[in-house]
Amino acid sequence: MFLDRTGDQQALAEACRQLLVKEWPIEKTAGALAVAPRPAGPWDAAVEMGWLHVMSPEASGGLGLSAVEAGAVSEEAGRALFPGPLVEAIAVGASGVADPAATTLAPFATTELVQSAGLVTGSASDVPYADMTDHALVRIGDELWTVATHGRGVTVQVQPSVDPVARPCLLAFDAAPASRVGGPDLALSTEILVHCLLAARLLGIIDAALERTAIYAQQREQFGRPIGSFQAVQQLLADLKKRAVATRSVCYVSQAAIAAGRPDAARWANAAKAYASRSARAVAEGCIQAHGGIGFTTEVPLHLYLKHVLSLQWAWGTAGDHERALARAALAGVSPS
Amino acid sequence: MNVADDERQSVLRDQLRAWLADHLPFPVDREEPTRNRQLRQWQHLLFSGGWMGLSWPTEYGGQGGEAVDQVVFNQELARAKAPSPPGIIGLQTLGPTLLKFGTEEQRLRFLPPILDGREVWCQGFSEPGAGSDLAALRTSATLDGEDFVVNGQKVWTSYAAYSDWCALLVRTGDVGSRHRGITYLLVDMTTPGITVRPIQQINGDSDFNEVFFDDVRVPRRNVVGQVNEGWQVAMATLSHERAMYVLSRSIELRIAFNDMVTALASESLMDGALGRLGETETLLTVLEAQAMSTLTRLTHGEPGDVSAVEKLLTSEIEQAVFSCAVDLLGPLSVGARDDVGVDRWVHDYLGSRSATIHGGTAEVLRNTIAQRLLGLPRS
Repeated sequence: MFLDRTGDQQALAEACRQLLVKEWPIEKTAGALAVAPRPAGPWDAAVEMGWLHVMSPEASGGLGLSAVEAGAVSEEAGRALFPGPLVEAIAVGASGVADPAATTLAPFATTELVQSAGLVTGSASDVPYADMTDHALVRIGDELWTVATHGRGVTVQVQPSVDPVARPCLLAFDAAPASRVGGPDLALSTEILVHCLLAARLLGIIDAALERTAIYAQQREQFGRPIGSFQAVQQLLADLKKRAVATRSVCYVSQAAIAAGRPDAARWANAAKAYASRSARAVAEGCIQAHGGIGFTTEVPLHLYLKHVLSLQWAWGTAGDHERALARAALAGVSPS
Repeated sequence: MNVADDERQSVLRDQLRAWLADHLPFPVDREEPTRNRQLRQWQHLLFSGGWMGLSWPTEYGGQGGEAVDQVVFNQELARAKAPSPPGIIGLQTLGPTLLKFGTEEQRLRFLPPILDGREVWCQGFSEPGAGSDLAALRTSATLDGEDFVVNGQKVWTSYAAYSDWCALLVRTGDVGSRHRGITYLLVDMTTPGITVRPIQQINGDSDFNEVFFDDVRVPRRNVVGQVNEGWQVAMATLSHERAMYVLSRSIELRIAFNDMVTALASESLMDGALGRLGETETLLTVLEAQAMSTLTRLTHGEPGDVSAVEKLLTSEIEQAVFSCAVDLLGPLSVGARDDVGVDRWVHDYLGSRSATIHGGTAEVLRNTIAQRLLGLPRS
């Protein structure tokens, strides 16, 4: 029942943060992304530091760590608005069936594929950075398969997005060759892990936006005193802080549940993704409000947080989807059947 | 990091389950004062079984265990739908206060009867003119020989009508001394000059009382901490009280929610019910996670300022759970149909309106959070 982090886990998070502050300062994000959608600097650093391989088995050169360490990495990546499919790469690495540096992961909910004799037909949308990746891990039925993203029978098209830190792609398959790499158990554990790590990424954004806004509210003066001294502003930001605290708790438990192989890991991951999505949305909106006029401009990076929150909260099921899944599980738990 | 019981907790849990299976059901009337008498008997039974004060030192009648043991205890009582011990303020607030600030003499005198159910405590803090602004309290205590003489009025004093003792905040400093002139006194409720008048609450209960003090003599040895330093004593235990609130409430709300889901499972669900149920289930799951975080901090010592967040979160989720219940059970619940037990939901829904008021209003807590956790300047 304890949520302590070990010294190693704290050191990993701190190292991620230090590196990202240097390689990927938020003030440069928008400009840098206009030039390169997945800038080499932060991505190369992530590869070199082993973040993609944080959960990959040691036998295949990974770090062989747990969802707790992956959560720490994902949270720091969220805090920095790290560009690139890091959550997906970590999940691919954890699956042990593909190379995370060269493989993206197609969201299960927006994939409609059939296969016959190893040839795949159909489409997968919102696949992050598929145009810059050699392979995609996709779910067909309840199994996991890999396909080449630039091979025979595949077209890839970048989809428009309001979020410059996402790069959703549409993959269309017409009898494209694919390989089966895993069954239902692996598909399920992958899905749970992605929910958990997306929640951690949202947590990083929540803290970054709120910390920035608290500092602004301490400094910005109106009516001759800091706006943060007004109760109206305090009440708003306190509610957001409450969400930040609670999101961290549910994220930590979700990570620990996966790490411990608990049977209720799916439930914690649903709750983490749902609550983190709603909280991050409230925080990103509230921080813009607390900044006043400048919050509505691109002179401060708050809009980048909000836009990334929009794409993350839609990815792998909305808050409502996860909440209804929890409700169905609760009803099934008490039903006589 | 670990979200499962360790070996020790697991053994404790099994033993308590077996004990509860042997001693339940323990029927309790709804009407006072019978109810209070029966609940004391229940607490004494728990005490005799070795289940009270699991984390308190053995020299004061406790079991000398860890903070987490208490959580296992609360969880298993809730799970078994066992009655709660009546001396909740003594157990959760006064006891920890005396362990931290009391003299050895006070601990030896007061702690054992808190555990065995002989002495139930109430807490005399709020006054008609001092609610959120507690430091404005005016009930006075002046020294006369070896006694303080107390005069004034307290209000919203929970369980005062059935309490043996009261943890009382009094003004010992000048009229304008605010938090620098407050003293923490232990008052025997049978002392001449004390009048208790119950107040009816919106859910029909009368836990609340007005308590009047008219030349009430309290021995000087019943001061906790130093004279005029009672504010620090009261505030230091506030975070502990809030932490215990999230720990026990998260469990009780889970039980209530599961009962609601059971009631709903046999009904055809209204439009939108699944979404509403899911939102509430999510909040409860988040609260359970927060309770694990609370527990983690408790094992390291003080729960700290984050407990203000936890009180706020818990109170809002309590309201969400019972709002969900009356909305989804709909017409079933408003009819107060005792025969099927659905009046419970209206009772608890109405009761939940106090969650964001007692023990620090939501508004005061938000100001605390803004100033202590976000570093915003005082308004």
